[in-house]
Amino acid sequence: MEELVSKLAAFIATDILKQPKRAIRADEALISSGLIDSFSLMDISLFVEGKFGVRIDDTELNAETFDTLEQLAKLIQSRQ
Amino acid sequence: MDLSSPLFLFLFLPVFLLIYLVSSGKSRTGILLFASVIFLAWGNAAAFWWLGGILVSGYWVGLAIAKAQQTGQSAAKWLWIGLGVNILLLAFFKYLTAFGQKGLLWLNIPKVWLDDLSGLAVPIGLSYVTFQLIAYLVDVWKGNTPAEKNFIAFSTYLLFFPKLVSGPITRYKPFAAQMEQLNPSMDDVAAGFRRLLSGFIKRTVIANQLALMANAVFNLPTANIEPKFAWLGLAAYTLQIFFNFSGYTDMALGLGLMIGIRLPENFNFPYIAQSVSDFWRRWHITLSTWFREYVFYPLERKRFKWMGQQINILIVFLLTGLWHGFNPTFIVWGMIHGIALAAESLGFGRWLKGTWRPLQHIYTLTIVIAGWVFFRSRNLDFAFEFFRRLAGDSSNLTPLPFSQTTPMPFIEPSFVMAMIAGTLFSFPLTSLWRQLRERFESRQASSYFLFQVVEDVSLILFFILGLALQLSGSFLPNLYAKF
Repeated sequence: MEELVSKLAAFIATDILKQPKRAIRADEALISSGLIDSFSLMDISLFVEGKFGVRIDDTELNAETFDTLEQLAKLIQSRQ
Repeated sequence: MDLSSPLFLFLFLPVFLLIYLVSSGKSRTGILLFASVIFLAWGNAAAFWWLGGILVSGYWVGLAIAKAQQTGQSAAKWLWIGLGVNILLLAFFKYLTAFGQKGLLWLNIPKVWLDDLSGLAVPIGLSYVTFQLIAYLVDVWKGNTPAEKNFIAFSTYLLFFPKLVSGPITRYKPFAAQMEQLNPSMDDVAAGFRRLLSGFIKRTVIANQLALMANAVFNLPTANIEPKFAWLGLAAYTLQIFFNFSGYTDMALGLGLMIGIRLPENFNFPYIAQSVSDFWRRWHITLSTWFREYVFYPLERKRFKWMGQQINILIVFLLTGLWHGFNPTFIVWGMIHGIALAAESLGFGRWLKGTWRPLQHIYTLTIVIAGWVFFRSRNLDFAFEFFRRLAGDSSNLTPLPFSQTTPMPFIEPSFVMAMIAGTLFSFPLTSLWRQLRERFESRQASSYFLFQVVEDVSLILFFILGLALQLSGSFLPNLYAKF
């Protein structure tokens, strides 16, 4: 779980936020806080699909499905 | 039937609620459908037949997709048939509205057929029904929702009268789950009633008063519009469209609560947005969510390497403009938003986040309000001339004869009051009020009654005022009903 969270955090900080040194807490709100916008959600979805083989449907790309790294990691684990 | 009309408020709604609330839970879906059909067919029988046809075809295609998937056949062809029928029909009506019968001459169809199309308008609710049906078919095809076998439940979802005319756009799955337990509590009915009243007040006391000025300005030839009135008309329209549409949505959500169905929110104080992308998270939320989930994300999965995301954003906003009508003004409106969003996605948005907050608001409101000029203008020439007036250009200005200036140049007190109220309530004052209430109520529980009485008496008084204003003036329908 921790490894999953750190891989997701590294991807988001480097490729989405363009701030490789930015530390993202596992329980930090990503979508509802506006840190990640809808332009970037598909990039996260494609990363998850490519890296972990888990598909997140287009209608699931919202804060109700996952809003933190922890929730996203749980979602991935539940579908692996 | 309009939700603000006396016919709806004093005949349809009381009769419906009485029958609905005293009936048993099982019969409520049928009563809802019956009421929705009457609501639709009342004064608009043509819409009833058009929507009825779409509904039957959508129901049948949904089942065909499910059956094909069970038998291992290609379900995609059924999906495309369903999407094709919906999109073509919507495009046909939008085209006919924009270009009239003359726009069909190139098809060389018999004149008798063309004559039959005379006076054919977009069936009420078509744009919303079509989008919900498309979402349903895609969801069935993806396996996100089972195909509905119960025709009554399916029809109730699409024709549900609170959301029929102007949304909010709702997906089938959450709606269907709520239809299984239509059992509103008395608290829900009371909360729904309050929301209905506040929506009515927004429309009649604020939006309709502002409409008098906005319509007076935008219906004039630009040669007669003085720069100061151009600004006044634009400010009035900016607030009018928000309070008209969000007021309608409040009424729809309130009705939903009374019935036992929570519809999704459609507005979240859009004029306090800090970027255009933030604006679209706050304005017509269910439409932007639909475009994001059913157009933008599927396009993003196959995005071009070079500027792919920006191209996809422009496609989405071109379609958003066209959804409002096949009129160049809507296309330009959509493109203004699309270009701003594309720029924000390229890094401008990141830069903007780090700037002075008032600058973020100024940028956002400039784009949004400039967009409203095109959205409200009858054609592009008018819009460009209107911008000249906004810039203070008084060349070729022909002031109107005094007898034709109403409501200009005199600014009625009701207009000033509506402008002040509209501006204030564009900010989240209601949230502050709620916080204040909670703080007092946590200290002294009995203050709940005082607050509630103050709120309810205010709502009733403003409702009476709104009713009086509506009955004394001309009735102004819901702006988004025409889309």
